[in-house]
Amino acid sequence: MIRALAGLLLPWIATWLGFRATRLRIPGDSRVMTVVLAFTVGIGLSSVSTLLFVTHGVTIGHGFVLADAVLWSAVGAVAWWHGARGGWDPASQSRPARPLSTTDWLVRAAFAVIAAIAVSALVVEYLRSPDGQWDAWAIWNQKARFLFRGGDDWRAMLEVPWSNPGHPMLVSTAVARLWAYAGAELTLVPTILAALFGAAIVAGVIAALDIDRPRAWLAGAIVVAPGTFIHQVAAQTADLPIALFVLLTLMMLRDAAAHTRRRAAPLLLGGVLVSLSAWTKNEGLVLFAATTLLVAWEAFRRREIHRVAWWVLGAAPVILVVVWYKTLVAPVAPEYMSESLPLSQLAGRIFTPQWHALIGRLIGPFWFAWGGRFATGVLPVVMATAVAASCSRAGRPLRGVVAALGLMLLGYYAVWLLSPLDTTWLVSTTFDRLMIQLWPAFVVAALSIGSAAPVERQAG
Amino acid sequence: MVRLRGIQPLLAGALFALCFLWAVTELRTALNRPHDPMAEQEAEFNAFIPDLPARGEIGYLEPYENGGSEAAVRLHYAAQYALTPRIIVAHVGPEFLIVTRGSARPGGDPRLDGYQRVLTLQNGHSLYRRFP
Repeated sequence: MIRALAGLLLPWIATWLGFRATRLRIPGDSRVMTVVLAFTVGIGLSSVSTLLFVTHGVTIGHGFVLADAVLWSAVGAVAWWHGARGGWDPASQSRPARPLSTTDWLVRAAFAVIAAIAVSALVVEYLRSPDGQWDAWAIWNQKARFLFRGGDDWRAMLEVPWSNPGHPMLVSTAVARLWAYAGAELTLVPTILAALFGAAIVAGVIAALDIDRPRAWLAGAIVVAPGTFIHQVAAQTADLPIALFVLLTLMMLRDAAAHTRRRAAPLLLGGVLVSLSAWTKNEGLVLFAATTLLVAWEAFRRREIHRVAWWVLGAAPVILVVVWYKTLVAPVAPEYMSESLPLSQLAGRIFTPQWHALIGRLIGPFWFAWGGRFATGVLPVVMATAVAASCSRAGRPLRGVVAALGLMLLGYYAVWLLSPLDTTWLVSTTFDRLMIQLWPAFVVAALSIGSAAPVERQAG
Repeated sequence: MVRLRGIQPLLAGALFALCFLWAVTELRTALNRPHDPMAEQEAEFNAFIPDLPARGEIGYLEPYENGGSEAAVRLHYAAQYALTPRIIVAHVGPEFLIVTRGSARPGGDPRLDGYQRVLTLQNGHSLYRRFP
């Protein structure tokens, strides 16, 4: 397990050093946000490099570990050397610490209690289901096994129809990579990876709302406490990782909207993050389309075409890998779009009110019940509060965030409406997971209500 | 210094209490959740590994009745999970065929014509092989 942790830390530290070397700073950043971003980008890029290794003959094994360790050590060393030469002071990145008030201590203690209970539930879930939930062993960890055990024959995974062979591979390659470092298929590896994604989401939410504000800690508690969230952490699937990418991408968009200067860094990082979301799950492509549309609209409105250039520069490399993977390596349509309905049927569904009424009737109960027992109604309330927050004058930077979330919801709705699969089954098996993907970003938007975004305050 | 104003302390307190309730409820749910049998099911299929080729297609006999039930589908998926990187196909034809307990029709299953049983495990699963 120690060796797996080394594999986890290498790209994390190398990416952090890369941020330091390039002085890539976002306007509302903090040490916590930088650590979260370094973890997220590091895991994502090391997953992409793993795919590139295995598709070019370096199959998972000792040779792979050596090549991977050399790659990330080299990236880290170059970044460290470059950063040291520039005389960058990490301490300058955060505002000076201020004394904590009684309120600060109380909210942090309350958050700690709730987080401790959530971690306990996670440990119990792991002891009950060490291999994760159905999709973990039917799809994500199974593909990781093909990579780890299959050698040159890892492409045999494309012949397992229920594993959605054409799905993006971030989670599976990340797990296989860490198994390679560990030298064994430890169930703890995907579990710890999922727990780190969950922790990064909570830390990202707190940092996004400004760690010095009590409401940031309340937001962290609201994100982590619902049973659906904890259960998804234990599930070891890809819905939680993509939730992190959605959250961070939209926070970059928020920061870019909040500032008239220093927009390049959040747009560049936002581009990288959104492309990694597309490498995590197909829903990431919906996020990519929605956010690119918003960035282009904002650039057109402000007559700042270079905004799009930064976004495209960040997104292009990984998006090209996703397109290459989906068209040449694994050209298999997702199960929910495996056969397209005839045009007449598609038009019939779109223009027949009964279809919309059916989906509405299906969604309603799930929407209200989402979150688990005693959490009835939390999702509609948080969504409504997020919309209200974005409509206020202070919530201007949030409008892009809420619009992107709305476009993603529209994309999910379109799949429910147009998929040839049984609509009742599709909605009932996907609703909770799809909402988890948007939950942290909705919570940040909702908890911003009645308050200027922290980035605005800092900008003064 | 951060100060909370108006009804904010009450609202924040109520929301923290609600979060506490949700988290405790999930902890109780997790404690009451049954043990997932995947590790045991995996171990049952792992016993076939010494007798199987390292890769390629392995047949899997679907139960003669209720083949589409959740339990039956799960067992097939468990076989695939355990025996990766082999491909466990739900039909007869490949040289090796896994017959899980109770999946062959009692009194002779015509789907097994041409196959010979080479191994039966204590858990009731069998391995059949078609010799040229």
